[in-house]
Amino acid sequence: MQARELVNGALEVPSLPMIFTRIDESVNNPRSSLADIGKIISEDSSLTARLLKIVNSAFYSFPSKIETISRAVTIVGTQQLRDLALATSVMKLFQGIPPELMDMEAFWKHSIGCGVTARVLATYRREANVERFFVAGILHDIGRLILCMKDPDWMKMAITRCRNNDELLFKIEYEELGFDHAAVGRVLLQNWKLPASLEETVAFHHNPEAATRYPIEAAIIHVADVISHVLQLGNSGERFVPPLSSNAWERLQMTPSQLASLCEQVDRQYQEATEWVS
Amino acid sequence: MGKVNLENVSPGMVLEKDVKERSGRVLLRAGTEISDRHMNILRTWGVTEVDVENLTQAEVNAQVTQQLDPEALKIAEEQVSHLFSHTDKEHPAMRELMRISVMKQLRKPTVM
Repeated sequence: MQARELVNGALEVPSLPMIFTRIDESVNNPRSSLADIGKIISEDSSLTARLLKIVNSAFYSFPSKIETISRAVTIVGTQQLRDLALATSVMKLFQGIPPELMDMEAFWKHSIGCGVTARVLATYRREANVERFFVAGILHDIGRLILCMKDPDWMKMAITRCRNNDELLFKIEYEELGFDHAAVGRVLLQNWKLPASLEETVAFHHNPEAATRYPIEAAIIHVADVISHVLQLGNSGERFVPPLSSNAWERLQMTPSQLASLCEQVDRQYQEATEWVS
Repeated sequence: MGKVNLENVSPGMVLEKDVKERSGRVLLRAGTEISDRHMNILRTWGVTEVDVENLTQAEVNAQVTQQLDPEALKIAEEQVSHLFSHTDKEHPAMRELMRISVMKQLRKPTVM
């Protein structure tokens, strides 16, 4: 079986909320105004509340409070707000996965941890639009939720094997299925018609040297995943720190001495960010 | 002697090599005795490590470890070593992450 067949198989896979599609279309439409985008977001009061919470957090530390979406659109930017909307929307999509298979709170905490770390890494590197790294972190393990939905029995077996033999879960996936959760995630993002950069970043987060079109993005998510495991921010089924690709590490052009202050910053932002899940 | 993390550098230490910022511009010359003002300059420019005379990061780490409870340290190191069992523990970045992880484990009880 291929990753694609698994995703497209009998059981329905969640689709992105309509509101996200409308925001995305509006952001990409050269004729739509900032006010149009703000209006679409404002229609969804819970999304509005979540976004305002984020833009008023330590993520931005703006000097004064942002009270309205229209102000957030002007200050944060349309693409950034769209990425944040995507990040908070996907967390609501996956319901009904048995807790003994996957602790959903821990899963999203790991995703947020990776997203926050990726965002901090991107800030260190002075990358443009750091929100895309946050959203890539949120999505990087999403294929594992699909595996849990589509084949819970296999997943339970894999988790048990991983626990008994101290193995890496993503390697078991690859060994037994011929593909891992990263490949599954890639197909899901393709179905959702999300940008190629996100798709490649998620697809190669365990082997970033294979990412040809977006090598920096993939390297950042790879290193962020390693660091969020080191700091034990949540958990997505993997019990060990995954191996670091030295190639990806070199691509980031960082020194080990930067890691301590980076981790402190991550820890602080992570504490606040996990409150958004509830 | 090798690089030392800025957090372990204090005024009075002497620079062994020139300190440069990202683009290669020299901020402070070798031989400079570090003052409070210099510390501010280094922080402002985002410098995270410098070469100082008669000190290495390994020595600093050893000093920090000495002050810790050896029992608690041993337990934390074993846990961290298990957590890192699938990684290359000799890689410089992983070595630093292991140190950070041990320190985090040791801090945990006081937080709870």
